[in-house]
Amino acid sequence: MSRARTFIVLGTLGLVVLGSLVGWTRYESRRWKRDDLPQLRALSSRLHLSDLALWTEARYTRHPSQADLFSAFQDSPGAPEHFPAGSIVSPSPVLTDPLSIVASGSGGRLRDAGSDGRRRAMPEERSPDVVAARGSSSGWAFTP
Amino acid sequence: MRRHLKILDFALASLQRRPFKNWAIIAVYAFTVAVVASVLFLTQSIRREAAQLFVGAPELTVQRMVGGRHVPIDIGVGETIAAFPSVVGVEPRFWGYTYDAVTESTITIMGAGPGMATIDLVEGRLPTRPTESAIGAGVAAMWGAEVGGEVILVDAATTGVLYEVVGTFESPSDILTNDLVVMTAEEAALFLGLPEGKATDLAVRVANDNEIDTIAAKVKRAFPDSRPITRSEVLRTYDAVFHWRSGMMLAVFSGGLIAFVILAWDKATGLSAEERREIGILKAVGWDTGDVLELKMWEGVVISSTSLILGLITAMVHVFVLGAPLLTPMLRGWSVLFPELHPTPHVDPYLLFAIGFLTVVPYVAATVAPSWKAAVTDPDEVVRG
Repeated sequence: MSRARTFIVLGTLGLVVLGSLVGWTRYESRRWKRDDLPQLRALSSRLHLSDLALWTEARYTRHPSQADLFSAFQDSPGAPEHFPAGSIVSPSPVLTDPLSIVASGSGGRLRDAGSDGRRRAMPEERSPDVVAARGSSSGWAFTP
Repeated sequence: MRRHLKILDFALASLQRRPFKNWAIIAVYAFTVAVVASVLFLTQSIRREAAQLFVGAPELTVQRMVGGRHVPIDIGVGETIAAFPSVVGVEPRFWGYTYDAVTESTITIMGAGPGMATIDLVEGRLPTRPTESAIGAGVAAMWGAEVGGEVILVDAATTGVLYEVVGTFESPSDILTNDLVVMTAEEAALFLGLPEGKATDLAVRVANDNEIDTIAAKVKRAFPDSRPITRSEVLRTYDAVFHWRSGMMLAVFSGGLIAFVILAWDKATGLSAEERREIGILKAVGWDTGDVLELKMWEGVVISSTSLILGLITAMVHVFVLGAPLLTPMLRGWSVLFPELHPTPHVDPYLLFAIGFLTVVPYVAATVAPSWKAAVTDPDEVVRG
């Protein structure tokens, strides 16, 4: 019976250590949310930061959310992926679920032939007021 | 209760008779659990951090696309977007990259628009004059620069430009600012060689979160060559990058899982002659099948629960205390300026139960199943082999 008791005591000790670590992570998580997160959000908001500064290998790994539709091999079609970070990102859903391209509504309708004889697919009709609003004067830091 | 304890005691004695083999199994099993749990803890922590951080990011970023590439956008476009209902403000962003040939690192240049110069997490202040800059911790460490010092950067015209360092970003912001050099917006535009009246992209503030997609659709309709990126798309990007099913993380994760399956399979495919003889003798001295199965279950529980607890403790210490030094080289890739990782400790109890269920149950089943076959066979046949 002594072996069984020793095992139960050691097992309980292990569970206590594990439980303490889980408790510590919850405490640290709350502390981060309370102390660091507001400052980090303010910094991200002030500098308009949109990506984590993790991979500085290429523009599409430094700013994956801002890249020209993130995909590997984009520096040179047909070339092997240059950067290790490129292999961390999962492939486009289109590759694993071809139906998603239909669901995303990437189609459009064909516009009548123009003067150049080409028929163009238009995503949607442009509203006249929006078209008129284009080309206004320049300047920056706009507010309504 | 006493009977169960006796059988547990017998199981421990039985395991002690083969100490090297069983400790080797515990070591491999615990290592496998630690690898799988480390990947899950790290990716979950970074994903969660990104999701919380970018709540402060612009609701909408508008880029201009030509030939499938992101090109500078007319600043005037912002005035039109600012007139859309629900848009609170539009600010052009001036950002880009510069390569430092000496350190072979790519640095991100970011222009800071008008606003408060002093801000938390910046030792010193943000630049207010064209000759000033604030730099990230990685850049500061690389050049040995500090507040009051100077840095030289090569601009778009390949001219070295000297900037006074008026601020450095503090360590908790490394994950956002490690490779940043912040300068005034006008200076950043000049440094990056952006044409007059152009910006890298436009940051759009939208008052009502429910209208972000509508505004994005309006921007796309008004400017068909634009690409509006919503904040939820930014969050989705990081969700995809650090999802356990993605790329290299999946490779590490599945490697660990396959190692575990091999371990369990080895147990499940049969008993050693010695183990079969042991079961036969137990049956011959009067143990019934239920007792033998309980003995084998306890053996499985002792090995798997010890390995699970050791593996989980190792993974937590590895990721949250030591900063995942074994996974960092895989994440780092070729990045010269990679921040020191301090993943915010966070463990989802659901994740712990999932890891426990996926490892303990199959292992115990793999231990009990072959024993059942031996336990229901005639003892004489089992002992004689």
